[in-house]
Amino acid sequence: MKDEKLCPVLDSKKKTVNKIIDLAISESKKTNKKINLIWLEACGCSGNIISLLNADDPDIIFFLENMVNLTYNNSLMRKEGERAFEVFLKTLETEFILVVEGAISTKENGFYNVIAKYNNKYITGMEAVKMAADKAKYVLSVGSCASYGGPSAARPNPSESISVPDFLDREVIRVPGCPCHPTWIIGTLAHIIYFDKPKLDEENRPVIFYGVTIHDRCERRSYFEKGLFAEKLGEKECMFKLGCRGPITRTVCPTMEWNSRHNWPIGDNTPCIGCAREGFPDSMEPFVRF
Amino acid sequence: MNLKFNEFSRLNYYRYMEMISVYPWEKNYYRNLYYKEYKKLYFKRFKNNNLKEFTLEELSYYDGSNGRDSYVAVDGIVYDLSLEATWGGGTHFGLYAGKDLTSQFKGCHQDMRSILDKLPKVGVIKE
Repeated sequence: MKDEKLCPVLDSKKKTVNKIIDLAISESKKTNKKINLIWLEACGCSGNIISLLNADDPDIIFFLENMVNLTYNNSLMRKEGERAFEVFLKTLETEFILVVEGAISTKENGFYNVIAKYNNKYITGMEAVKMAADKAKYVLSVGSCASYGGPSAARPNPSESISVPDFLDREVIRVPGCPCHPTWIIGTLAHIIYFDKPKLDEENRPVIFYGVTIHDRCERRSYFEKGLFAEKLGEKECMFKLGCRGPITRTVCPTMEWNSRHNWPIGDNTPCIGCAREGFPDSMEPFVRF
Repeated sequence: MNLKFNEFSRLNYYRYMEMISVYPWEKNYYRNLYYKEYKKLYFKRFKNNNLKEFTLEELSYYDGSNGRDSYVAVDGIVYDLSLEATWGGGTHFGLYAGKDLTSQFKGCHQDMRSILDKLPKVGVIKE
């Protein structure tokens, strides 16, 4: 009781987190109906689906069993070939969320990125995304390629790739990152499933995960303020002079951290390369400046 | 204590307050104020002095690599971007420091003087 009187902020901090966790748990128990989810990979590297497998609290098993009905994904589904694409077509008849990973290759009518062969006809990534996006309830572009073009659209861009929001005429929620943090994907989807779409910023990113810059919450921020800078990798000071992109990249990496909250790039002595920023990787080069 | 609040006495005052403060957070608060003031004064030095003249060759030395300062010229005036948060390692969205970037600046920021006014000036480009 005495502590509460001394500092009410400290006490409310503990309660706020608990409140949010309790709300998430109670909401997840309330709804029995699972919404269908199509996870479409266009011109990408499968990095985001692999990142999603590393999720915890909730983990991928809970996500698949209790939150969504993942009908189509080229990496995780059991069916293959034409039978797999039939599932995709069947899901289009229902209510579903579309998640796109990878940029849209547009050269030669999208023929640089073929995702299926159905009735002796090649289905391009461009065609499949267009087909699904027309009917989807929500469209999420997960990863930097889908959100901004990313490495797929990097110079010289031989496949003429563009981002999903550029390709589609409808609202697309951007969840960038290379790869995207599993918690950001599941968090955004959970908000959509249990409530509605989350609060978005001017670039259509969820504010809860992309609200502050890495520089704002960086563990080496005090070194920056004092003007102490690392001269080579491995030193403990601020890596700003080595070309850190923390000040222009908005994510919650410093507080959430990666690999089940073990570590993150700056904690591991590498400067931020701005992977969740528009223009990555061309505009973010050089990644380290000596 | 009869202190006249010009910049230097302010520095002394913050140092004094830091010394006599009992609580760590209070000490920290005054230490931060001190460093903020110190930084301001440090850059004011460049403003008050006669501006140095740079040739483009001399300017190219200050490209931000190897911990050097990063200077950039816009409209003939050389600005110090060493502590500008968006210029990590002397680079900014594919641009490198140590050059005259007038056209690039106008291409992206139009004629936003407010950006330039905040930056410390270190010199002018020699014709």
